[in-house]
Amino acid sequence: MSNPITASTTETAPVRWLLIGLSLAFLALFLVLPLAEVFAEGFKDGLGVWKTAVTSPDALASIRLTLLIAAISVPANLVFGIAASWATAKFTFPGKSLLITLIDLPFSVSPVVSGMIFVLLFGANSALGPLLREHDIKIIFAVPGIVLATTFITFPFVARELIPLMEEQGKDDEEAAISLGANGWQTFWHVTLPNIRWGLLYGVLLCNARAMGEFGAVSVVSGHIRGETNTMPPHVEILYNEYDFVGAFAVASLLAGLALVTLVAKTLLEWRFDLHHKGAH
Amino acid sequence: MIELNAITKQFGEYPALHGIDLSINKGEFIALLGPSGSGKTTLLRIIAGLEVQDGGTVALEGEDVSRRKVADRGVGFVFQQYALFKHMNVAENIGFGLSVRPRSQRPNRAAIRARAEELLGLVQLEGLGNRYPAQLSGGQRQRVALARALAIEPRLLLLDEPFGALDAKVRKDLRRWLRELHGRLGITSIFVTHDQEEALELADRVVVMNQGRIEQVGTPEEIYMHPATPFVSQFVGETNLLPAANGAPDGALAVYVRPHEIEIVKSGGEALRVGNVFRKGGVWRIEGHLAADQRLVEIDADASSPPPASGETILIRPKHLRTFAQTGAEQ
Repeated sequence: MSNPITASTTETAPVRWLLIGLSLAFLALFLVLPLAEVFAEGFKDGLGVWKTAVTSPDALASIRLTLLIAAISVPANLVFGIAASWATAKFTFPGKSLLITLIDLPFSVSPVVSGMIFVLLFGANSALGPLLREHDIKIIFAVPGIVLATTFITFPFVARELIPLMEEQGKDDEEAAISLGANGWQTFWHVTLPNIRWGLLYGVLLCNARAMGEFGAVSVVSGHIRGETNTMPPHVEILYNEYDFVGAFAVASLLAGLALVTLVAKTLLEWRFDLHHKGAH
Repeated sequence: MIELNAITKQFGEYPALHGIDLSINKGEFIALLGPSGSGKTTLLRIIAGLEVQDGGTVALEGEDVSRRKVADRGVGFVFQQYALFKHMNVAENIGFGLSVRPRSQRPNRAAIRARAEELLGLVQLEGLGNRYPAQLSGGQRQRVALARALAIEPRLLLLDEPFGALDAKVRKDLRRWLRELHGRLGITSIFVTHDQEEALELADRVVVMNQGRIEQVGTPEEIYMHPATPFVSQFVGETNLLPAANGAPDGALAVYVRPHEIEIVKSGGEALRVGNVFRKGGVWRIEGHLAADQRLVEIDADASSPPPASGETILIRPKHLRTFAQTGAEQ
């Protein structure tokens, strides 16, 4: 397609420029400008100050914790996402549509509520509270609680990405593999996984970005213990509330940088995914 | 070779197969022919083990395989949409069945590759082993799928609408080629089709199915010339349904006549008003309506003489009467 614009969909030049101009202005005002501001504020007093801010013990602790949380919740959701989409796309079973609806639950519930759920379940005043205290298990205001909340919030990303993809691919390839003598694991490893790899990477990427950036639910369950239970987003908030703007924006610029890297990687993946997808037929 | 005994299958409320009995001999080339929803694909998948029957048994070479897994039945399955593994090249696709064998039975890499090359020769795709499925035409992909199914040396080859996704010309070539290949390998094969021409051209025996039941099993000649039921008569070949006239046996509801079995006569026939007339291969195809009840009738007339003109009224008479009593049997 050398010329995708056909006569029936062509607007006059002024209209075209107006529409393009409007979208660009909107984009600049609401996306580019704030993002640029984050970096501008973070680096305002020079690279040295920025470096001091992000390497302060508390900042480093928050970065480490964020990476730890992502390192646990992303693989967990990777496994769950593959299992759920495999189950829903390749088999029929009672309760299938309920499962698909439930997968979306974390998307439709406010993150604060998600955090509250875990406090209610495992907090000191919950039914489980005394039992946990007895065995000296800390979940709320500790790392396990943050992992639980983050995993809950990022639950749908991989599954949502894979279910439509797997449904579209059908199960011919898998049936071909088992008819040729492959067992379940061989079929998954040699046939299903290669078919979904780009979609899977894409889902993992989004899942990771959210796992590192989650604020609401983590904020509720973490208890904001500096240097211990603060991931990067709550750390930014604390610094900001203490009028340490440079420190807040310096850490925020790291998060924003993560977003940019995710976007670039996502674009590359989409391009690769499209290529792969089109090549199939 | 294959014995199917009282196979039943139900999908939810919808009965797909009602008690199918069928026996197939070693080396036969069998077509399962029927309209969509007739249960032919379900039956094929049950034989393969990709679907499990609700009742009845499947026996291969005398052993009951009803509850056995696909992999243990020794069947090769060819899918309508090829189902080639996109990320593997052609040789890897063909060798897949060998490369997933348990270590003790697995040939080494070089042997698998050699076997793949050998099969590529068999399906006339020499030298394409390093291509990817996306780089092949539809006909080539289907040949690769066939080679892949043959690589595991199945005792039975099952093909689900093997030519369904191909265009007419490729379809015809591939059909002829498959017939030859079957002649050479002699492997017992069953293919599913909704195309009667394909079934009649390829198969040793045709199994005509309708609404989850077998209507008739027979050679293409028997199916075409002696259809057992009104359904077969109408589904296989073209058929005119004429009112049961004088000369038809008692109890006959209608007379079934093929277009080429109707002759144009000077006297003593039914009046037909001619509509469209066009050339259909070597004959004139005359479409017209019976004067008596406006029923549409199609006739194939010898093309060596000029055809009747549109609007003209001619007299026709069936050369061969085929009637079915209410019981459905041919008389």
